[in-house]
Parts: sequence; C-alpha cells; structure tokens
Amino acid sequence: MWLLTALDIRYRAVRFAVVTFGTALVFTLLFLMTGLIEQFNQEPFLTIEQISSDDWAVPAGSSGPFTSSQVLRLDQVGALGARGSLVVARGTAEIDGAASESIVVGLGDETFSALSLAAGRLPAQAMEAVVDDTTNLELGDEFQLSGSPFSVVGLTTDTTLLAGQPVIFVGIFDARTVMFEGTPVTMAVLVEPGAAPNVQGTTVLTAEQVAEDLLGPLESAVASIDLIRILLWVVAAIIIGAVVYLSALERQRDFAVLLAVGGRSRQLAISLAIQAAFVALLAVGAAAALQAVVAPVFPLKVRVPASSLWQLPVVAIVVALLAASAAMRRVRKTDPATAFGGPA
Amino acid sequence: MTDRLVVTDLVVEFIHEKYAIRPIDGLSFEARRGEMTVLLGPSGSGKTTLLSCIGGILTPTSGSIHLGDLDVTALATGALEGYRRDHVGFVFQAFNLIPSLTALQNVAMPLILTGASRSDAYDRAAAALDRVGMTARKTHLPSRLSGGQQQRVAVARGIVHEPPLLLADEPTANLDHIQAESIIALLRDLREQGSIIVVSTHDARLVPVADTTVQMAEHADVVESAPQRVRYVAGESVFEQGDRADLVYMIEEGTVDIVRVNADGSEELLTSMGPGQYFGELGALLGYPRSASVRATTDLVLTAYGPQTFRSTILLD
Repeated sequence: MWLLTALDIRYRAVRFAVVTFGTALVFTLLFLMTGLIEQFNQEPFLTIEQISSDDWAVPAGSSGPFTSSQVLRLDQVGALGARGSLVVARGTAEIDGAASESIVVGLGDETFSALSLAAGRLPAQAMEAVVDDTTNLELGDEFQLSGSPFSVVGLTTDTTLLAGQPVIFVGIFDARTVMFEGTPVTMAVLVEPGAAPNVQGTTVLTAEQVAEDLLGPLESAVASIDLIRILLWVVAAIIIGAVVYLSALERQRDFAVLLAVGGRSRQLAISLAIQAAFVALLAVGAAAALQAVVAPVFPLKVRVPASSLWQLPVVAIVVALLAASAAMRRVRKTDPATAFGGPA
Repeated sequence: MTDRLVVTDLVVEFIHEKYAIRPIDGLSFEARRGEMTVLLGPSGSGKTTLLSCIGGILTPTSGSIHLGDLDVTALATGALEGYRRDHVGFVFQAFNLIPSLTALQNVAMPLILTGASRSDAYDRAAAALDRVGMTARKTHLPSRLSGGQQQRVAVARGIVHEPPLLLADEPTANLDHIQAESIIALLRDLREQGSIIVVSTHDARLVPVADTTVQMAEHADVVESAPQRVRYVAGESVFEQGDRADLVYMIEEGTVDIVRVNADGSEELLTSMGPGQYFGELGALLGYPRSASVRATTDLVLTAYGPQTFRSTILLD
C-alpha cells in the first residue's frame, strides 16, 4: 500500500508539487493570520505589564484609561495618593515629515522608573521621550508631537496598542502641555495592588482588566480575521479534496483492477488518505518555512505561537482526511467489474 | 481438486429502467484443467458478465458455478475476495496495468496487496515475467511498452499467484494480428501447463485453438419458409418478451397491443397496431430476443414471414 501510494505520488509529481505549493501558500496565510491574532491578543498585556503591574484607579464608569476620555478630578487624584498619575491621549507624531498615529502616555517620574527599556535611558528633562521601536526612530532622533519637538532618549519593545499603534512615553507634564494645553488632567492613578482605596467617584481596575479592555476595540477585527482563517481552511480543504478526488476518478480503473485481483477497498481508500495527509504535511512544512521569511516584512508584528507549529499539521491532516473522504467513499464503492471492458 | 470448472443453468438478470433483461439465460458448460474454453459472441451477449460471475465479481441471479469442489456462487463477499486472490487470474481487454508502476511492480502488486513480503512478491513477479518472456522489460513503465508487451505483463500479473483458473476478457481485441498471435500462443502454453483458461472473444478466429467453444448468442438458424397465414383469438399472445425472434408479422385483420413487461410483472402499453402494419422485424433481423410482448386485442389474422423473406418482399419492395 505504501509502495502504491509513493509510486503514484512520484508518477503524478508535477501535479502534487503544484497542489502542495498552492496549499502551502494557503497555510502560510493561515500562519500569518494566526500570528496576527496572537499579536492582537498579547500586545495590550505586554504593554500594560511594561507600564505597571499595579492596580489602576480610574473615574467611576470609565471602561479603562485607554478607551475612555473620562478624567479624574484633582481632589480624587489627591485622595488616591498620586503614587503614579497617568495621562493617555491619541496623538499624531510627525516623524521625518510623515504623520504617524500613536498613543501618547504621560507618566510621572515614579512610574517611568518601572518602564523597562530596550535601549537608551529614561527622560531626564522636558521634551524627551521613550518610544516603541516600531516607530523606526533611533536614539537621538527628533520628532514632532502636536507641533512640539521631542528627542528620543530611550527605546522600548513590545509596547504597541490597538493593532500595532506605537506608544510614546513622555513626562506627565509634557503630555499635559502638548496634548491638553497644560490642563492638569489625569486618566488614571496607579495604586498598590489589592489596596482598593475608597475614593468616591473612582473605581479600581487590575492591570489585567486594563489590558482586557484594550481588546474590545479589536473584537470585530479579530472576528474578521478568524472568519478569514476559517475560509482559508475551507480553501485548503477544497484544494486537497479536489486533487485527491480527481486522482480517484482517474484511477477508478486501476482500483477496479486491484480489487479484482484480491485487493481490499479499505486498503485503496487508506492509500488515498495517505496521499491527502502527505500533501497536507508537506504543505505545512513549506508554509512554516515561508512564514518565517514573510513574517518579518509583514507591516504588522506577527507572533506565530509555537503551539500552532504542531496544531496546524494536526488540523491540516484532519482537514485533508475530511477533504479526501469523498474520494475514499468513491473508491470503496468501486465495482471491480469495471476492470472489464475496453480502453477507458 | 480444482480440475474442472462447471457452470450450470446460470441466469443473470438485470433490471434496466423498469424492465428485466437477461444477458445470460440458463447457460451451462464445463471446462477442464489443461483446456482453453472460448466464450464466443458479439458485444452484449453476456461474455463479460459470465467472466465476472466465474471470477467472483458478480453474483448470478440463479444457477451455480463450481471450481472443483468449491461452490463459487455460495461464497459470501469476504470469501469471494479470497477466491479471487487464490484461485483466479484475470487478463483484461484494456491490459489495465497501473501506469505508475513498472512491469515488475505491476505483476507483484496483487501479491503485495494480499500480504506477501515485497522481496517474495518481486521474486515471484520476476518468475512470472520470465514465463511470458518479459524479463528484459521488467523495469519499464507501461507507457514504454507496446500493446502486446503490456498484455504479456497483464498475463504475468494474472498467473503470478499460480491460480488454477485464468480468465481472459477479449485479450487480443486491442492488438494487431502479430501481437494477438503471440498472446494466443502464450495462452496455449499456459493451458499446457495445466491451467483452466476461459477466454471471451467476439473473434471467431480463436475458435480453432479452443478446446471448447461456448456460443454466447443463439444462432438464429432460421429456416426461411413461405409466408404463412396464422390466426389468434382476442386475448391470445402472439409472442412474449424474451422469446427467440424468428418471424416478422404483418397484420391482415384485427388489432394488437404491444406491451413492455416490467420486472415487477406490470405491463406498459407501448403501442397498438392494426391492419397493414407489421411488427417483430428488428428482433428477427438482428437475432435479438423479443423486446416486448404482443397480445391480440381482437380476433386476429397475421401473415408470418421469415426475416429474409420479409426483407426482400416487404422492406425492399
């Protein structure tokens, strides 16, 4: 059976190569889509973790400091201890003359000190910034934020939000000056985990809740990508199923002969199933290599989870077997009497 | 002992659309070890159907097939697979070699599929190819072999497991006369080595090399007689569907219904005819069984013609 399967694949090598390549492209897209979703799901947790793992006190009714424009009153900030006030705003950074959507986070000195840097140092004076490395800014570069010049003194990594928008960290006073014309707004105050300060008109969110809140705006995007992933699986199944079915149709007479000379239909069906699984596995292997080449040049960060490297082959084999089931059914129904008669 | 193949009162009936057809109706014959039996008949005469029954691929409607002591018609599906595997070799009209396999692999494949080790299968396949004179081509794919060479490989595949019975379906149909001659010579050699060989063909030139010939279509040895007037009373049957067709009828007086008898016994009126019209000509001219029944719906007077007389006096007149 293995011999029959292997020799048939060799005989139809060109067709199998084309199908494997086509399926590999589909699987590459699946890897990339999976990596994108993983990135979308992880980026808020990674970013919030870098800012602080403390609890976040926000105005009552606020969904979170990044998705709500509600601000704390000054008396509330005072009552909360102002251990780490925080300002958040959507801003447009002008980098080398090009506008770039980014998220500006103003941090007090105490909070800044918790930020882990990939390179450089923390701001020591006004109009200095730490930026995410996806801005493509280098240490010492200058950029404009709402018309004000900032210089890059530090770089962070994995600090993006809302599907890849880079976070720009500046001092809280700079943030208020540049983004709120000097108004002393505060979106959140970091408080010791579990302290639960009882300040009227405020509510406390854990860092995890703040991160989860950031997933909300991406829900429909993630759902859309998930739908595309399902469609890609269907496309892969159709490609594999079609080629195996076509092969079964072409080999109908061969199967009839093999049944007539004592072969069992189950053996022949398994032979087709092996071919389908072989194509799927080969395509997954090629796709794993292709995605490693494509992912770094993808506009968004792609974080292919290690688990998908074994999950995808398993699911691919299951899908391939399902796709091949029509062909297998056809083989099992082959009448050995069709071996008789003239040329097909 | 598998020294005789005995086919007794074999009937194969198919339901086609609603009516039943019997490509084989009460066939009996016997073939012995070391003999070549030729099943001779035109297309549609049931040769391939008969081979399928003997080969355990098709279950007949009734009758029996015995290979030695083994009642083939009594075997269940699983046992039929074993029967085909152990007792029968097939040679097909279209060679039916697997295109992806070499000659050697094609011959070995039935053994491999039935559990033989690869080395044993290849050894036996090489020996079978040697018997048919194809050793030099054993590594060739079918696409690199001539029709005659492919048929030799197919014969080797049929005999690789040394079956007592070799069934060959039109083995020379796709070959030129030189290649056909070599295949016939090969089958004669195999016969002399003690196999029971059953060959189906529409080519009467194979008859002289056969030990037994089974005519699969009745020869209408029609004795052309002068036209004869015949009478039927209302309700009487002129002939029944499936009867042998030897006469053509012209209606002189009265009317008839021509009905198709379905497999479930129901009847379907095809047409009614009256004076000046004739029926039954195609079956009689072609030698086919009657394809419908004819009933007198009134008292009836017919003139019955032999088919050639009808052709010359009525059709060509």
